[in-house]
Amino acid sequence: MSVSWLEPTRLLVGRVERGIGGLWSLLYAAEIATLQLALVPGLDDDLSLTDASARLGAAVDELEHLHPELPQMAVAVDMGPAALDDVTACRTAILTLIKAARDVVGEVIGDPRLTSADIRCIARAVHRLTAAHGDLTGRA
Amino acid sequence: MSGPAHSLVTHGELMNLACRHLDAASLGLERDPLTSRLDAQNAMTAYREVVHALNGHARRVFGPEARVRTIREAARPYPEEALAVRLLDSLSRAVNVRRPVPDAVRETAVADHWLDAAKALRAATDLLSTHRAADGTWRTPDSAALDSRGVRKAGIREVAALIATAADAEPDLYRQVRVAGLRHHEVTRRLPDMGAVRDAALRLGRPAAADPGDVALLARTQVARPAIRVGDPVTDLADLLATLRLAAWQLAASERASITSLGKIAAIAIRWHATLELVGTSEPAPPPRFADALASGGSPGPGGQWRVARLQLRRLRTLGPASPAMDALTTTTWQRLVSLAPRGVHGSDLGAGDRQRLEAILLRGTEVFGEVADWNATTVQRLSNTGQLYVPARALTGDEVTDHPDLAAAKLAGRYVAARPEHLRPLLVAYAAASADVAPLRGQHSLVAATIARARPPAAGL
Repeated sequence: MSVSWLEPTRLLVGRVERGIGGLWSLLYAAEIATLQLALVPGLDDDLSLTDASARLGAAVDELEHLHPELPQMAVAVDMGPAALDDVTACRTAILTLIKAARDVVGEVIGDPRLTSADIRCIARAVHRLTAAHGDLTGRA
Repeated sequence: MSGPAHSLVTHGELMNLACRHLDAASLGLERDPLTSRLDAQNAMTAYREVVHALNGHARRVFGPEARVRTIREAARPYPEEALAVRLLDSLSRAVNVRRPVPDAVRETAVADHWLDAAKALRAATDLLSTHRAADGTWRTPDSAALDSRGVRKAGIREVAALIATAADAEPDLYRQVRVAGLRHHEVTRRLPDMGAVRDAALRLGRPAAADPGDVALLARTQVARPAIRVGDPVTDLADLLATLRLAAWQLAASERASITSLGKIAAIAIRWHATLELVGTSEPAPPPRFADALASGGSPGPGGQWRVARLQLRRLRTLGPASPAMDALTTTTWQRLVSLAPRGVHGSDLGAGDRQRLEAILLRGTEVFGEVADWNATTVQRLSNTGQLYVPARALTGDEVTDHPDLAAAKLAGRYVAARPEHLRPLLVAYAAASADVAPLRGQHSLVAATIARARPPAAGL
C-alpha cells in the first residue's frame, strides 16, 4: 500500500545531517522517489521524470565515487510506491527534497575540510539539482 | 540534415568486391594477353598474392588450426568438413611457392585486379579477426555465432567459390606467361599449382546447402569495434548502440563489473524506449507503449521493465569503481538521444529520410536492449554468485529485515550485507520481462536490418 510521501520527506529534511552524508541522503531519496513516480502510468510521457532521475542519479554516483562509504553510513530512504491518488503530493515531496539538498549545499560548501574534488563535485551537483528542478516544474 | 557519414563496410561487401576483381582478372586475361616478361612476372606476383589471401581467408573462416587438426585426425569426420580440410591442405601446398619479386612497378590491368582482390580478401579476413582475441577467445557478442558450424560452413563455401574462380585462371596464366617468354622452371617455381585446389574447391563450392540465415549473418558482419562516426547524429547513434551492445556483452563476460555500469545502461534503455515513443514510428509492431500498456493492465513493456530494473539496481552496490569508459559512453548516448528527440517536442523535426533512419535504429535498439537485458541478468547473477554484490543494509525496508536478526543488526549498524536471492528477484524478473517483451521483435531482425540498410546514407566506397 502506498502512503503519502510528505510526512517521511518532512522527517528526513528536518533530521538530516548538514554535511556530505546528508546531501547524499537527500539526493538518493529524491532520485528513488523520482524513479518510483515514473512508474505511474502516464506521468512520464514528457520524460521529465526520466531526465530528472538521471540527473539526480548522476549526482548520487559522483558523490559515492568520492566517498564510497556514503551508502553504508548515510541514511537511505525509499518512500515506496507513489500514491496514485496523490501525485501532486509526490511531486511536492520530490521538490522539497531537491530544495533541501540545495540548502545543505549552501551550508556544506564553506566547510574547510572539503577537498577541491569535493567542491567540484558539489558544484556539479548544484547544476544537476537546478536542472532536475527545471525538469519537474517545466521551468528549465 | 546531412553529414559526412559513410556506411560501415561489411564482410559481404568485401567478399563481393573480391569476387568482382577476380572475375575482372579472369576476363582481362582473355582479352589482353600478357605480352612481355615484365607483365608476366607481375601477373604471377599478383596471382600468388590472391591465392595467399584466399588461403588466409579460408583458414580464418574455418577456424583455428586445432580444429583443422581434430578433423584431419577424426576417424569419421563430417564429409563436408573433411572436404574443407582437403581444400585447406591443397591451398597450403599451392601457396608454398617462392614469393615472386616484381622487377618493376609497371602493372597490367590483370595484375591490378588480382592485387585488389587480395586486398579485399585480407580486409575481410582482418574484419573477422577482430571478433576474436589473440588467445582465440570470443571478444564480441557475435563471436559465438561466427564460430558456429553453420556460419563456418557458409563461409568456407563462399571462399571456395572464389578459390574455384582463381584456380580456373591458373592454366590460362601458365600458358600466357610461357608465351610471354618465361621458361617452364621459372614458372613452376613461382606459380601456385592449383590442380588439387580446383578439384576440392569445386566439390565444396556448390552454393546450395548453406543456410540462408548463416550466409546473411556472415555477410552483414562488421568490424568488432567500429569507430563512432561523428558528423551525422543518426549514424552516430547507431554506432553508439553497437558500442553499448558490445560493452554490455563484455560486462557479462568479465570477472568484475560495477553495478553502477548496469544502472547507467538501464537509464539509457529507459531513455531509448521513451525516445521511440516520442518520435513515433511507422514500422510494424513497435514495442507496447509503456503508459498504454500499464493502463490496460498489460505488461508495462520493455521501457517500463527497464524502469523497474533501474529502481532495483539503485539498491545494490559493488565494491569496484564504475568504469569511466562506460560512463563516457552512456553520457554521450544520452546526449545524442536528447539532441535527436528533445523533450517536449513530439515527433521529430528531422527530414523524412533521417527520420526513417532514426526510427529504424531506435527499433533495432529495442531488440538490442532485449539482448542486453539477458546479458545484464547474467552479470548480476555472476556478481552475486561470486560474492561481489552488496546491499547497504540501511536501504532495506522494515519488512525485509523483520525475520532476519542479522539484517536488522546490519541495518542498525549501517553495514553492507551480501545481496540475497530475494533482494535480486525483482531485478531479475524485470530483466527477464524486458527481454521477453521484445522477443517477438527479434523475429523481425532481418526486416529491421533491411530497413537500416535501406535507410543508410550512400556508401562512400572503400
